[in-house]
Formats: sequence, C-alpha cells, structure tokens
Amino acid sequence: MNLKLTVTALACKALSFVAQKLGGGTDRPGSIALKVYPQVLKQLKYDGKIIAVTGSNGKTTTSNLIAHVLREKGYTVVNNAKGSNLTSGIATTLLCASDWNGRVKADFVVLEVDECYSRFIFEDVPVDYYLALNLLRDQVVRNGNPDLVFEKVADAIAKRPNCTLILNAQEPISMNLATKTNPALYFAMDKTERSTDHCVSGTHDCKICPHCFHKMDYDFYHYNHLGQFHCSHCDYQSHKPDFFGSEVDFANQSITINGTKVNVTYNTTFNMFNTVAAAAVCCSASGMSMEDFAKGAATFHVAKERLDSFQFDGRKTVCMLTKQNAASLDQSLSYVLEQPGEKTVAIYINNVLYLDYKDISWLYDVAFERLQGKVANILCTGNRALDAAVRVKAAGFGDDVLVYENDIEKTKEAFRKTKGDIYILATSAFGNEGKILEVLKDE
Amino acid sequence: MSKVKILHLYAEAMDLYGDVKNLEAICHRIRESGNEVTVDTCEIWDDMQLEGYDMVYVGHGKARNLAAVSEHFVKYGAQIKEQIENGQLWFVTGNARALFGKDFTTVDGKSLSGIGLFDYSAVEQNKVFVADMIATAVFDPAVRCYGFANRTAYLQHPNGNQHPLFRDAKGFGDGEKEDGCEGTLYHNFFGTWAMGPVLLRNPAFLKEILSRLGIDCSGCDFALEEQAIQLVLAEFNK
Repeated sequence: MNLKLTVTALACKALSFVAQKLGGGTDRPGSIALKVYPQVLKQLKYDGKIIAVTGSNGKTTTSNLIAHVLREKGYTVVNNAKGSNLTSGIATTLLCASDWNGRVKADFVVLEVDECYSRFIFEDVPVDYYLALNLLRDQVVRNGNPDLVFEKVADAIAKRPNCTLILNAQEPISMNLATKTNPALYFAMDKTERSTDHCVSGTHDCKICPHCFHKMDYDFYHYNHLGQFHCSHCDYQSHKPDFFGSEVDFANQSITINGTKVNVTYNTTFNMFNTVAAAAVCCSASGMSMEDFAKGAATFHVAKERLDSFQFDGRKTVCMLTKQNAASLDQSLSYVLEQPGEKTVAIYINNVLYLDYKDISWLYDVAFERLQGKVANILCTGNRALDAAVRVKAAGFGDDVLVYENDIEKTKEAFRKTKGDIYILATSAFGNEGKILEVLKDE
Repeated sequence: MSKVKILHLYAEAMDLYGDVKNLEAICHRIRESGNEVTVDTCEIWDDMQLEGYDMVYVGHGKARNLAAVSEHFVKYGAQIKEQIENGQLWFVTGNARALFGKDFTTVDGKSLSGIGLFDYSAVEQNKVFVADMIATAVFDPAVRCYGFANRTAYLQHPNGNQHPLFRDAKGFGDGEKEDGCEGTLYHNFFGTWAMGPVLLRNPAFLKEILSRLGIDCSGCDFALEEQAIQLVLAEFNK
C-alpha cells in the first residue's frame, strides 16, 4: 500500500467535500493534491477504460452526453461533469473517485480535457480513447496561434501511441492528428438543409491545405470550416467515416446514425454533429449497439446554465452562454436566425475578467452581417458595449437598428428601446455572465 | 474621384483574429467618401505583381502558414523593397512583419529568411504573449492609440527600433519587454502587432492611412469610433 497516495486521495476527498458544502470550485482540491504529491496521478489504477474528449467547441456537452449514454446502459461512470478540464480539475475528479488503494473502480472514466492541457494529462493518465471534436481559433487571450494548439494536442497523442483516436472526417485541422501508430475511427455527417456551399460563418480556419498549403475545396459546409473537404493539389481529403450521420431532421429533432434513428433533445447542427461523435465513442469503447446508444441519447439534456429562458417586460427572453469563442457565438446567431418572429439580439461583453483586457477582436470573427434585415435591433451592453457597437456598425448596421449602453445600471432602459423577442448572447469571459440576468430579472 | 487599387497578399493563408476587417474598413471609408476601390488577391500559388497598386495588405496568420508563405515572399524580395522605397503604402499586421526582417526562427528551431528590408529578427515560441497597449502615434504625436497583442512570436531589434510606429508605448513593444517603441513606420510602410482590428479601434490611425492614399474622408462620420476609443483611453488613465 502506498501510504502517501492514500493520504493524498483522502485529503482530496475531504477538501472536495468541504468545497462542495461551501460552494467552492472543483479545481482547488486537485491542485493542492498535485502540489503535495506531484506524481499522484501516475499511481492510480483503473478497472475500466478511459475516454478523453477534447476540441475547441462542444467538449463539455459531448462528454456529458457520452457519460449519460454509458450510465443509461448500466455502466458505472466517473466524469468531470462541470467542465473542470485542466489538470487540477481532472486530479480532483480522479482522486475523489479512487479507493484507498488508488484504484478507480468504474467501468468508464470520461474526461473532458482542455486542448492545451492534454499533454500533461496524457503523461499521467493512460487514455484508451481520445475524441478530438474540432480545432478552431478559440479564446484569444489564452490560445495565441491555433497552430500551436494543434502541436500541443499532437504532443499529447505522441505519449499514448496505442490510444484509439476518434477523429472528425469533416474537419481538416484535427483530422490531421492521425498518426502511423494510433488506431483511428472517423465520424462525419451528411449534408443537411442548413448546409451551405460557401462558408457563412465569420471565420474559416482552413482555407488552405495543412499538408501542401494549396487551396482547400469543400463540397459543402456544416459551419465554419467543418464540411466535406478535399485539397485541390494533394490527396488530403475527408476520410471515409466509420460513423455517419444522415437524414438530419431539425423539425422532428432526429438523425440517423449508421442506419439507426436517434432522437435528440437540442436541434442545432452543432449538437447533431456532436451526437455522431458521441455514438462513435460509446459504440466503439463499450461495444454497445446503435439502438442502445439511441435509447440513451433520447433522454439527454443540455445543462441549463448554457441556455436560460425567462420573461422581461412580458417579452420572451433567451440567454445563451458562450465562451469567448467566435465559432460558438456564430452558432448562437444561427440558432437565433432559425427562431420565428420579430427579435432583438443583445450582446453582453465585458473586459476579460481579472486580466482586464479591453480586447474584443474575436467579435470581428463573428458574422453579424448575417443578421442584416433579419432582426429589429442589435443591442450592445456590458462595459465594452461601445467597441462592440463599432464592430456591429462595421457590419453595416445603422442607428435604426443599433442600440448601445455601457452602463449596466441603464441596461433595462436600453432593452426597452428594442423590439421583439430578446436573445442575449452573454459573452463575458471567465464568468460574470450572470450579471445581466440579475439586472433583467430584478423586477 | 479617386480609384484606389489594393492588393491583399495571402488572403487565404494569412487570416486570423478579425484582422482582415482593417482592410474592409479602409475600403468602406474610401467608398463612403465617394471614391472607388478594387481589391485583388495574390496567393502562394500566384505570381506576385506589385506594379500599379496603391496599397498592399498582409495580415496576421497561423504559424505554419507564415512559414509556408515566406518561401514565396522572399522570391519577390527585390521588387517588394523597391516598391516600399518608392513610397508604395503597405499595411502589415501581426506575425506577417517577420517577412520583412532579416530572418525568423520557427517553433521547431528552423531558421527562415525574410527580405531584409529591416534589420530585425523574429522568433516564434511555444508561449502565448497577451497584453493591452496604449501608445503615441509617430505620424501624429497628438494621437494616442490602443492595441491588443495576442501572439506567439516577437521581434528582436539588434540596434533598437529604428523606425517605430508608436512611441511612449505602455503594455508591450516589438519584443517581450516594453522598450517604449512598437511597430514600424518607414516611408508609407506601416507594421504593428496591435490587433483588434487596430484601424477600427483607432479612427485616427485609419484616417492617416486614408489620407496617405489621397482620400479626403472629412465627410465621413467617425463619432461612434471616436467615443469608443476615448472611453478605452480614459479607462487606462483611471
């Protein structure tokens, strides 16, 4: 018995218990455990298989979906459900789930892992399945150059040459993570009624081939640069998929995966695509049938904090939480455009918390131009409201549509200048998104 | 009425973090002030022809793409230097500045050549550098500008920054440490790490570019942009 391991695991459990009672974060206990015993994660043993999920967009929802389906099938699952995806959050999850011998007794461990931290986690945790959903430009204040994020994920994979990779055959950047040694499975989705033949999103991260740097051609796009691709010069192209989603029916919220109809509870392109990825993971890691997957997926619900609906002045108001991520915000705009009736889009953007950066460059990567003629008003709020208004003005909106107010105390009045249903895109980074809800709900 | 001809160099390969909106802002204001503008693109697989263009724009790009375009770019080094020396307007943001120096080192330690117009060297590293900057514009000392840097590369000036675009720069410079200067202004060549996009965040900077293109934008409305930058600057003075 490794006494140090036992003590560290027990201490982590105790700290986590206290943190939960006090409403504290999930990272702290693991962070303390790693300081006391840096090698602690290496000492853990696992009864079941370990699945890691990464990607710029959708990793929280997809890993929660995977864990949900596995549980519905009757497996025991340990996962970091709240998105604590850095090394410390993962240490908390694993140590709390281990017994006094450092054994994690679960059929599956499902870990959402941050792209940049994967290499540290893979060093210590023997991952069996690694799902890479996508790699897009992401939170600018953390990720710098997207190519370096790719290198970091590739470094992680190099540490586990036997781990099975589950790759997106319609995303040319992350599909390029395939190696000579790792077994790989691919997922893709057929053209849908919302697919386009040109990129309508604000960003396109793969206009040229990552192998030969010639023009990349796309047969169709799902969103951003995700779509069926082939290089105009070399043979790099969408891999033949092992898991394929087709007959995507947004109205009836269903998709057919490898011949089996799956009902989903959230009908965006984004969610449909992630469901195919989750099916690839669940079926290959557990050997479950597509019918079993469909049964589990039908009862999955997206966490409430990411989508909140209420009434303001008798007007339907929906708040959508998004990271500081252009692709994610573009997806929210697509969702808004699908909704019927007169509407206002409200952007809530602050300085990046605790660092206080006044940057909003990523809003220039969002295609607000698509709202032209489709919305009654665009309202910019939060302390960077004026800079956001400059961005919206650059998208061609005049004073008839554009409203802005940077004083949070006057936010309600600003909302009253707008018309129709309200869709709030709460985009402040690293928390504080709740402030605007507090203001609007405080009647 | 003027007809402005712009060349967008490496539009497909060098495109990151909204910087292309700088170019769109220039075009929008040219048209708004009653003039015409055309934008042509030149990619890595095209032959570069600079003759006849009033302005050339190159944006910030992904690290691997920068390394890929450099080989194409240096083939035209003599022609590019001649145009810049003769006063062609160039607007260059982010890591594209590396192309104009002596050389640059990639993250895996490979050394690539620049065209040597300037004596600086660029170094790409596996570390993200993020900062806000406020600084005084060299083209008009009455103008304070705001810039945001988000980069994994930096420039080393062996003899100090000989042709800065900004002075009294607080927050960042071309290198990892503040040295009071940022960017390059040489004849009509503008280079900066500032993103944002910098011309939309700083209307005075946009007006300077327009004026050097011979565009009179006095009839355009910059009130919202002015209000926004003044608020940013005031926050730094708190």
